[in-house]
Amino acid sequence: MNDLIWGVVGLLLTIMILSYLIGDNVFFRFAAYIFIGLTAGFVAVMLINKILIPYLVTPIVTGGWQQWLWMLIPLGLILLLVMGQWSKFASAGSIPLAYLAGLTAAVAVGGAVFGTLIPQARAVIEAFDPAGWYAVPGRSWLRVMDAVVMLVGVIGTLSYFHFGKRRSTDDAVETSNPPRLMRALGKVGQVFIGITLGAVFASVFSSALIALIDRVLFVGEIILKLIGGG
Amino acid sequence: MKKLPAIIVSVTIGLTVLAGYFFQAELSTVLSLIVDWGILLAGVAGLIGLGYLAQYHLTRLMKREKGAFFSLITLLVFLFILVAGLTLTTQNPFYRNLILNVQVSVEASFLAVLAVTLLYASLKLIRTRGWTPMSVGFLISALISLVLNLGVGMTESGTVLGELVAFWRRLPIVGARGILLGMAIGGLIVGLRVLLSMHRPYGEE
Amino acid sequence: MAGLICPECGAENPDEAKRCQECGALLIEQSQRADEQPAGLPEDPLDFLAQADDDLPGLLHALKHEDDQSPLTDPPGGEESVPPEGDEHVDSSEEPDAEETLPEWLIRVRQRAQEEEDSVGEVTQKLVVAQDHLKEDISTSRHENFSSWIEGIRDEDGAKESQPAEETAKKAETGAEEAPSEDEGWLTKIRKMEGKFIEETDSEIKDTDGDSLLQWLVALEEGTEQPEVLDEATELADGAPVDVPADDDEKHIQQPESVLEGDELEVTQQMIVPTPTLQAEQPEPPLVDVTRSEQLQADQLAATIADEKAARAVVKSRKAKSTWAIRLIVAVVLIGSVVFSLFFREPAVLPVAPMPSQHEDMISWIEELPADARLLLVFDYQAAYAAEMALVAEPVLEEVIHPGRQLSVLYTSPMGGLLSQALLSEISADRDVPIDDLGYHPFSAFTAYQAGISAPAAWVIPSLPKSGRTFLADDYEGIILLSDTFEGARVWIDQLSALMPGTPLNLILSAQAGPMLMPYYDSGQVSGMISGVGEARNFSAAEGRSGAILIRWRAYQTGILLMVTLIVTGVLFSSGQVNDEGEVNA
Repeated sequence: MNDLIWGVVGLLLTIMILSYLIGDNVFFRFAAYIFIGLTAGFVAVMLINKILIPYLVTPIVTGGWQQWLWMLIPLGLILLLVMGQWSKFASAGSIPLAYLAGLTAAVAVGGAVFGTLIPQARAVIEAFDPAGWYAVPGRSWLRVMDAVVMLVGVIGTLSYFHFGKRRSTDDAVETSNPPRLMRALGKVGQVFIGITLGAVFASVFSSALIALIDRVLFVGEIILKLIGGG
Repeated sequence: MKKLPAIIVSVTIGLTVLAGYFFQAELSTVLSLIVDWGILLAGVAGLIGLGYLAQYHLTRLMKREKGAFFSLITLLVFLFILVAGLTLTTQNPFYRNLILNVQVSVEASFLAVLAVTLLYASLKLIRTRGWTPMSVGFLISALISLVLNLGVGMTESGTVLGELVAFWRRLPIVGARGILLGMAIGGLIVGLRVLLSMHRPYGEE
Repeated sequence: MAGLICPECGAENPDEAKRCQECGALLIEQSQRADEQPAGLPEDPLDFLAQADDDLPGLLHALKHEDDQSPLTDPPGGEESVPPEGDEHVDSSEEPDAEETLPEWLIRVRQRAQEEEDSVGEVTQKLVVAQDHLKEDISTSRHENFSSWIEGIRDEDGAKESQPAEETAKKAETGAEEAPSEDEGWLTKIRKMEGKFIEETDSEIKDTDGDSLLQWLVALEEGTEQPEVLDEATELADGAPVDVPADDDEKHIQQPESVLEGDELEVTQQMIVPTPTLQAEQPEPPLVDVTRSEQLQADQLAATIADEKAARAVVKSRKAKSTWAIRLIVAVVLIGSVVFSLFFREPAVLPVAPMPSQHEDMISWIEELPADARLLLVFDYQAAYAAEMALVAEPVLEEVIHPGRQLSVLYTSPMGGLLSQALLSEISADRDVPIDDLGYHPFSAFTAYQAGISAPAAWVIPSLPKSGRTFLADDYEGIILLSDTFEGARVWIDQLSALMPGTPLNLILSAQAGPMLMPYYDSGQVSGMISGVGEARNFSAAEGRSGAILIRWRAYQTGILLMVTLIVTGVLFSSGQVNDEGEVNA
């Protein structure tokens, strides 16, 4: 019985949201605003239960005086962050934000360098390793072609993003005018970017289609249950 | 002078975390604490953001603006979920079913609407962007990827057709690698600018 | 006849008094100095001012007498000065008392006024010239203060002018007691505006030979005085300040029309005050250097503002209606075909197809796992993808979760806990596999970094609080990441590749995350990956576990075919509307 009730709730919400296909209406907005309120409330509950209490309240309540002293640091940062919401003390919020900015920047730099730049660049270079070409006999030309296409494509993609764009000066706005080779490589990069985005488009539609199929299945099952008397 | 403490904090924390990539064993305890406190701060920031959301809807309700009824709905649901979650806990079956059924139903339905929207948008792919190298590559790649998703063209890797299919399957990797490298370079530059305090997103410059 | 007028306070004193009875200022020296005025006319009338005595009050008083009145002022426009009615030429010899009080220079001035044209005007001209040499730095506030002061004096003058000249003259004759007060008031006002004159002590008076207004005028000419008072004083009497050309050669001076008629006091005021005045020039607006780019931006902003304010054409509703209709038709067709495929067709039979390398590697890794392996599962997807992730993850987790193995679960999204419980409960319900819930760890980047640095510490800081989030990743035989976006998975891959390159990482992904994460498998950072229902179908078929996918496969195929059809239709229909340049016509 419980499952049926929850099923009916899900059915109503599904139909309300799918009614957007007909046009924006009050049912769609009603369901959307319920979703917003529920999500916000749930996130608040999770943050309080899973973050604040275990990592701030519990050490203070159960820890000794040495724990207390250490916990003064995050307590002070939290207090500054809250104070920073008032315009009068806006500058106070800069220190905790600086803490987060430094932490995020360092993680981003480390991840970008050690997690993407070096391994991916190495992969492009290692594709030209002759040992890999002849790993599968009879198909070495494919490996070579694969390596060349990879190199040209990656350089072309990077060229397309205009990393060498000049800044505008005070007297005139200098438009980007890369060399002819860069422009040609940029055109090649456009093709490869288009190919990648096309594959992503197909994949996104695949995920959305599965969600639609699942919703239609769910609605059908609930209706059958209701018709069948539970 | 006013910004000096913030700069010192940012640079110190950043350099310490960066050093963790090289000296894990020596700095693991300190780094764990730094990350803990960072997550604590980010959590509080999230709660402050939720407070602003509630304040926005409350203001809209008090001023009787257009859509005040929906703001009332939002606030009521928010308060109910918050109180219920803090009192019943997330392991309560009623609470779990409520969250699961509402969240999954609504989010999956939004994604289903996206499927219809993408289908409709496919009619106007060329009409919107015209015949450019990017749009042509986009179209051809989308068509081939969709066909391959159907399971068509699944041949043995030893055959020529199989090799060509495998080659085509690898083509998106080229563009993806370039995009990833570009993103990494951008993230590196921005991160370095923050660590060198050339860019201070945490205060007025 | 009035006695001596104190130059300091303007009080009336007897003739024989040496010092002022009110303030104690010297009176004898001033009278003696007046007697010692040289008889000869200096070439420059202003020399009179240089040698001016401090007997200004006496002078003023003398001027008040009806007999001493003389046409000293010039009417505006350079007209001949018209002596006020009843005025008579002053003859010092006829009035011995006036001679005693009036300085020589004043007598000469009067004579000149009678004999020459515009003689007094020359005085004022010279004063103006002197003023022109000085720099102006008039503050508006002081100007305003002076303006109010001038207004007050002007009101007094206006009140005096309204009275007939004869009455004023009679008052001047008879109102001996009034004269000192009037002199006092007028002089006091001037001295108050001067400021330092009021504050001067007796010794200063001695040293400076008195503090007459004439001395002040002389000093102004010499450039030792501030021009404010002078400039403000030019607004005295009637009318607005008159424009004065800055050119020194032009000495055209306009004087207020209201020439004081028959009133020596007013004449004196007119004489003292340089009539033409400089209108307080408005300060020029500061020059602003604007660069071309700033000018362009300003022009662009102005154009944007003008464009925003411009009337806009009403969007035709027909086009919106047709768009709505087409979208509705597409939705009906898609949902209808899915319904038909789900409920009115037999489930598909999936052939076994060659597996791509990423699947083979994952299967190899699973098969090589020890029986008591410890695995970490990271749930990083939203509720919208719950159905798809369940379809993709079930075949893999069915192979991974075996009795004897230990599972640790952490989730980086708020819904992750509920979704992981829903997914794992179905799989591990009948299997005795302990699942360690590590909890909610938001912000994937920080959590991934912390997982990577969770190595045993080489040294410990005493009393440092322990982190409650240590999950030593080195103890795990492998990490399985379930993600719906490439961004969330990329963060984990970056951190674990950098900090734990030896720990195998396998990905179970939604279809949309697959293409962008393939480079990581290609570079060896990821051991194996499976993304989307299409690849999961292969995996399931190979493993013989494809029940849930079979039910949905027909509908999935129908939807994909519909998308291919619409893409081709859109290309065919839009190709006719594209011009030769490759651009689509609107």
